[in-house]
Amino acid sequence: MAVLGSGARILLAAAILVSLSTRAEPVIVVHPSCPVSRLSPDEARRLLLGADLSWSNGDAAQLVEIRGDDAVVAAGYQAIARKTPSQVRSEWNRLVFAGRANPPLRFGTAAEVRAAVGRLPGAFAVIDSSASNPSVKIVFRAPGAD
Amino acid sequence: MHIRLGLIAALVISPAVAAMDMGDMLELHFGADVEAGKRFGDSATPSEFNLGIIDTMIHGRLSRDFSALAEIVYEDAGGGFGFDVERLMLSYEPRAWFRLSVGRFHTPLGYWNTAFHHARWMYASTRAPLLAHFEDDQGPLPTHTIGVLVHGAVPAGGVRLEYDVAVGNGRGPTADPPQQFADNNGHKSVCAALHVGIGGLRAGVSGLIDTATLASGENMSEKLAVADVHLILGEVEAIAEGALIHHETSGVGATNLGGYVQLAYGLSEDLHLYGRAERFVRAATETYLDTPTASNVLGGIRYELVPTAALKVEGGWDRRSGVDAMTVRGQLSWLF
Repeated sequence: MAVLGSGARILLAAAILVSLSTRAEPVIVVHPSCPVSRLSPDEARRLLLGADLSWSNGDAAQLVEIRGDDAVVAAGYQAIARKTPSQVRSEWNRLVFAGRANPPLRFGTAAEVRAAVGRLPGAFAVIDSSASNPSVKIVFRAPGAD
Repeated sequence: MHIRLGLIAALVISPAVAAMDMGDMLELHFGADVEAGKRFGDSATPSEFNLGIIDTMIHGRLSRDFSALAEIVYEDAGGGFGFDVERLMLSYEPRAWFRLSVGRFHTPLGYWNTAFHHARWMYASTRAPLLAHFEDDQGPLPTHTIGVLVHGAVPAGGVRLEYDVAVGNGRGPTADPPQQFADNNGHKSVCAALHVGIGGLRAGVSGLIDTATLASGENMSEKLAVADVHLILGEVEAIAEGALIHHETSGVGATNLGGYVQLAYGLSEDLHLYGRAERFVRAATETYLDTPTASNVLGGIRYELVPTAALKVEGGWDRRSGVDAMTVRGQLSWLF
């Protein structure tokens, strides 16, 4: 390190900061009115797989997703439920087919997903923490999803 | 007049407007299966390839609280394909504890009939147990109802309570088909179910009462009771159901009993072993149902080719109407 000049050190520190700040951190966000403030890993898994379909205030749990493939969502699903997005969708297909749940709501961008969660009581989604804002509430951070 | 027209316009337009912030409005699902099998010991049944059922389901979200569902199945109808509208429902669900559905739906009796529907990909096994067969396949239960269904789920601490109440046309002169377009008497079937879920365990009871008017003009009273348990514990999934089906016509009673236990074990995410044992005892005085006395034991393996398609291979022994046979069957099924 001593061989680096002060300019190089600043550049290295900046690179590390940028790397940390851009590292994907999948989180589960919910509508602000959701009665839950924190989910356990098991509760998060059950929610994502549709095993729990309602919140304690009577709102139906509604999965909101980005349309198509998304690396952050894939990492989040894997970390939360040990399943790929295809496998999670397959589980929801089963529920929808059984008439037990409404299909996931799908939008084109992460911003639209976040906006939908912020708009619809009962909604939840897996998004990158950097895409979160005060319109939604983070209730779970996926462990080691990067 | 203007106010009335405005109100009508608002009613027509509001679901569409409300749906604009709801993402995709329409979902289409498609399921099907193909099979090959051989039944040993039953000379009347040669080895065969067969097309199973072709299942299409459309789910429409009309607004945040309203949704519509239609399931149409194409299946064997005497050598050609016939189609049935298996489910047709308009649902209103303002809260998770209250969903009102009107139309044709699966009667909330037991576990299998509400968890799995016509697409065989949903079953661990290649076929449903006899107790859960549909009316057109010797099934003993009225698996479909045309009427009104109220369903709700109420979380209470770590416990989840689910209830169902259904009122419909009930049985007609014969067990199949369900009375879709009219009821031949003023009696309505009433079905109720209550389930409790704790973690991966869900158990409950359901019952149905009905009065059917037979072709002879006689009335047949029907009373059904079903108990069911579903358990997911680690990689193990267990389903058990038992049913009592009592019919009474002109003072002559018939009590039929049926039940099964099914176990599945996940060796990995893609590979599952399963087994099932089943028994149905038809009463000697039963005249309405065409369900035979039967016993069945089977075991198999299910491999997920992809999350939406499965290969199942199973073998088993069964006795139907006194005829013993061994069956080997393979099935490719999918649902997406």
